[in-house]
Amino acid sequence: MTIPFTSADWNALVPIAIVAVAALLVLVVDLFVRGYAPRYVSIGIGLIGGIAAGVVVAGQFGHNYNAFFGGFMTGGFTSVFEEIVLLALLGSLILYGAIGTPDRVAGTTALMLWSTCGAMLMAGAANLMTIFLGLELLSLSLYCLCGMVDRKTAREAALKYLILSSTATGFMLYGMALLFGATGSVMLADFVNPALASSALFWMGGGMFLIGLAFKLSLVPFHTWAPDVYEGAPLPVTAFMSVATKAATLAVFARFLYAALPSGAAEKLLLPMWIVAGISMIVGNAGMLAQHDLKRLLAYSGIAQAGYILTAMAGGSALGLRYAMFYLTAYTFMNLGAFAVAAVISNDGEQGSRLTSYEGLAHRRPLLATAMTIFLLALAGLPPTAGFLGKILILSSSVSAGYDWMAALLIAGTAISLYAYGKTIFAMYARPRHEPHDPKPCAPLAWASVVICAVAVIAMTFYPLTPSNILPLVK
Amino acid sequence: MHHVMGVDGSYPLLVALWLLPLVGAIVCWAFGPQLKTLSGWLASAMLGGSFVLAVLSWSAGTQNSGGALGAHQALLSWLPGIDFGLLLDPLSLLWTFIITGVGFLIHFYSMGYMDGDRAYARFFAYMNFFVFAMLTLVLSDNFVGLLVGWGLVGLASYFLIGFWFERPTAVAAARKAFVINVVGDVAIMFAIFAIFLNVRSMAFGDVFAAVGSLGSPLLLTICVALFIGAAAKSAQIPLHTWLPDAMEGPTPVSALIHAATMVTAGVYLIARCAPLWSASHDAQMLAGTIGAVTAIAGAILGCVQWDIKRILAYSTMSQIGYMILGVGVGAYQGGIAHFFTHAFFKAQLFLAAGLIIHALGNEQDVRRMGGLRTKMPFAFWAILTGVLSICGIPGFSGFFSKDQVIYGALAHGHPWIYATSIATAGLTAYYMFRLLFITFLGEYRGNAESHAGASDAHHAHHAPAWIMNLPVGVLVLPTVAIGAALMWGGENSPWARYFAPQFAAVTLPAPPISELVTSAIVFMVVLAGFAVAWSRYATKAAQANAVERLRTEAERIPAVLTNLFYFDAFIDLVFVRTAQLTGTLIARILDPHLIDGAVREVVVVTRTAGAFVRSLETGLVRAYALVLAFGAACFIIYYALVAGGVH
Amino acid sequence: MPVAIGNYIALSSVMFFIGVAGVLLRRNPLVMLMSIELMFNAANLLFMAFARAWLANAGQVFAFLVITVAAAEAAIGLAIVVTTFRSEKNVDVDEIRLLRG
Repeated sequence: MTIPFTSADWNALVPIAIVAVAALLVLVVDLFVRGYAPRYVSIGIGLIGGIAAGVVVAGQFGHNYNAFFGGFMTGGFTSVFEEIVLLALLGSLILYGAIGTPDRVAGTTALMLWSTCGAMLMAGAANLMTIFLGLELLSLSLYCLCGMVDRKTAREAALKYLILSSTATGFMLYGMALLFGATGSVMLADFVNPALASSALFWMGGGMFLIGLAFKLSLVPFHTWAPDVYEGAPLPVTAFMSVATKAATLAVFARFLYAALPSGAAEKLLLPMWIVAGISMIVGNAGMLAQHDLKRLLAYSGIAQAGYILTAMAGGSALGLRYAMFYLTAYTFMNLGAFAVAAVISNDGEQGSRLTSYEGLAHRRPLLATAMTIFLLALAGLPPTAGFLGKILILSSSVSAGYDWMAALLIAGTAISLYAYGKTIFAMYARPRHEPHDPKPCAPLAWASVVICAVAVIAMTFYPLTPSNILPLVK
Repeated sequence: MHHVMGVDGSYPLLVALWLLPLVGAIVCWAFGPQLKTLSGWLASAMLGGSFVLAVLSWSAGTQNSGGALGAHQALLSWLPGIDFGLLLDPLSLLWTFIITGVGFLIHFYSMGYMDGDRAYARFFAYMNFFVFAMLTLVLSDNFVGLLVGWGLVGLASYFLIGFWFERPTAVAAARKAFVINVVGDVAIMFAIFAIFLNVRSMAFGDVFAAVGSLGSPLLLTICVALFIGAAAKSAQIPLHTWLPDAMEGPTPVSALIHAATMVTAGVYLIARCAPLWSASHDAQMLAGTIGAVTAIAGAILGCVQWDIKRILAYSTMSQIGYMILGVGVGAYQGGIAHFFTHAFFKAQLFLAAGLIIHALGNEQDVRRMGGLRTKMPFAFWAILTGVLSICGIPGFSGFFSKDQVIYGALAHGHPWIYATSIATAGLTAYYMFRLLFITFLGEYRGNAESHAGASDAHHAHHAPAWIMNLPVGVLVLPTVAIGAALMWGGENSPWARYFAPQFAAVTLPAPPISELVTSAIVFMVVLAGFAVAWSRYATKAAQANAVERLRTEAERIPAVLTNLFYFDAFIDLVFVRTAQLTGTLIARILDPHLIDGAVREVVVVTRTAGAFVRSLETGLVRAYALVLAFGAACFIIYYALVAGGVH
Repeated sequence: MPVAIGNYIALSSVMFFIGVAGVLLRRNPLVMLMSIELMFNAANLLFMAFARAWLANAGQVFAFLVITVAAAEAAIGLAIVVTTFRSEKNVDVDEIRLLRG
């Protein structure tokens, strides 16, 4: 008897394998390198691994591969989410290189790579086991990463994240058990059976499964962990978490929504998700008012942004998924860019996280202030940034899908957010109230990532990443 | 749909013309501390480069190619129906000339005026950015691009008015200008939505080709919305109150933005949308009336001002009223001609006033000037030519353009507008000669220290005098002669031939009063205005006790005029007080303890919501788990109900 | 003697809600982690019961997977709790609230 494990299987897993091997390599090499070098060796290996995986994923666009007997599928939209996760990895590794503490570099880098593996696994997961495995690989690595620095708030963040996230995973796992009970299968593809629509186990299981996803997306009222964990975690980890967790979870949600629902059940099953997404857009943006910490501000912003992306998917049209991916890509750049600015401002990342550090920034460091303005405008969804285009696309898809009320909540949320973003922008251009602290030299790579993100945020509005250009890639 | 006005060819030079000032802005902004005074030269050079490119584009912009007028350069296809591109036709070419040409002179002048300012480079970065925004506005081939430029010039203006942000008045003025401009932006946005919903395209050509298919109520709505935007930007009543306050900015800013270019954006908008306006008689009536009212109101208010820059500001408002009424009633060539000549003579007046202000150590009150003719002869002659031109003395540039506007109002069948604009011409002569006489004749009335200090200050500035004098001298030529050179000869003048392909000729019934007679009437009225000014300020008797006379005159000005027709009070009542009142009501009714009495913005409500959201974040992990469990319980109850329903 | 599937579901849901209650009510992070384990094991019980009912071994595999992952989670959880123990004398989650608002 032979076990089928064809070459197609290998192709599907190659990017994840590259990242995983890079992580092992980091740990092994660290044993042999001494002195000041380990920092750059570890991060260098991580960057190379991430780039290599990104190249391989880019080659997979438009093909279809699957591994684990259909439990992991790639090509199609999975590749886009994988690229986004890798982008988050590269960005946060660069930030880590720019501001990280000198000790525990190898461990941190390896954990970042492993959490990337988990997120990529989720992006292509097509059965409950792979989803669970990917989710836990991502989460367990993130718990550790949160507590990797010797700071009280970091330990607190790790503990809170651990307890709350595990609780949510408990709900999700129980939901998976019920879904298994309803179908006798763990394959998402088997959930398409229309007979399931009359199974109580399926409804309860699906609902509890969605609780887990809503938690990971930090939708209200499952959002309470996000501000504390974002604030307490080290800056590069926060940057990674804010993008990669969202991307991976959205991929699972997309697979569930587009490929795994009995016909006719989708509307009723997902209604609570749309409602919490709508609430998140209001509450997330309202929470941003009167914040004093950039990471906390971006945590609340992230709550609302997750709501925006779900708004694009409401109704489950193929176009909606494309628009969601467009917005998520734009969000990746603007969010990483904002964190990169914080990294350039200060060596430890903590001073750059305080919003008072931005007062009068335009007079001290005009280029940096311009870049930050671009990122904040994009997060607020104002022209001429990709955030603006993304919101227009989201509005059009949700209105044409008949979810007008979500579009209305999106506009209301945006209006609220203008105050918070605008306040930060105006503070940068107003006269500095404090004497500027010494600008410390910063890694040129961090500067480069600021510039790349800013250019991307503007360029995605125009050329060559206009929707008509980028969207055919992801049929 | 194909482009009617756009050409399928391309004209890459246009992109360079458009982007040069942006490059200058970025370089000055990023490397200002390193460049120091070089940034002024760099910024001026960028504008000079743009101007040269505009000259080189003359034939491309005025000739037909590919069946359409002018040169077109596609930039990118965005969403369906929204393609960005640049369009250079006679209209935008003319504006480009003024923006880059007069802009260049004003940049040059600023190198002297701003010398020694600690934010020298930042000033030039803003100025270059403004020019880029203005070029975006006029070169755009579609409404969205125009709106982008429209918003950006407002932003640049906000930065430049508030440039001296140490002065609280400057900050307040900047904020006021910003708020009123946002009102206009929103109106234009509304118009653009209405256009897009009905035409499904944003290109000017497509929209104008579809004018016939828009119903007349819709067309009027669009025109009114566009006009609100134009009125806000061009300081038309009742959205004009920001312009006099905007004089808080440095004088070159007033010359460039608040006289020559940005404030005429409303004129450009109406001229650009000529097919829409020509199709809606009511819209023409509205624009013409508002323009005429603004013209005379601005002139009346100009008669009672004492601040030299505010006199010029009200004069600008009044002259833009002329332009708006010109393009409003359909006399497009006349309205644009007045924009053209006004850009020269008003820039000249502002820059010459800047010479005085600069020399007197930032003194702007004409009551503390006087007798400057002998002390500053250059400034005197510069202002004199400007005054003669703005008054429309025959032969000077202003004469040709103003008479075109006045006669155009009659020719297009608006006798009342015609009469109002003639009366305005008389008032213009009065207040401009009043400015001239008070400032330059008689004895010097300022305090001696300030004057002495001023001459010291003049020496303290490093920049040589010629840097500021040269642009003023250069501007004298067009101020005096460009009207005669281009607009002499009616239908056969170079001006008329230049615009003939752009604006279709309309045959109108001959009006009862001929053009020549109109010119004669206007001249009489102007002479009368001059005579009154002479008798009040220039006679020996008047100058004998000038200080006392000016003081009593200031006391005798009627309250309605010192309060500027109560427009500021009106705006205050409508916008500021309403907001305050609402805030107070909310505070009284909702929760007096929660809401701080000082907070009177709409923000109150969102702040409360924010406080509620933040109160959920107690920091207690068990509380978080409880919120989570609450959410989960809601989910579970919902799914239990659904599951119960399906059984 | 066969036991009806409904009994397994009832037992596991009782276990699950005991776990949830433990997370909400206990203040010692170790006990909270144990409560979470209880939630996981409630799910495991369901997997096993349904695997038997459907005669599908995926459920049993899933249960093994969960046990493995839960072991890893316990290890990491303990590590995090221990680092917290080091800096605080007695660990009460109600007293860990530097981050809020």
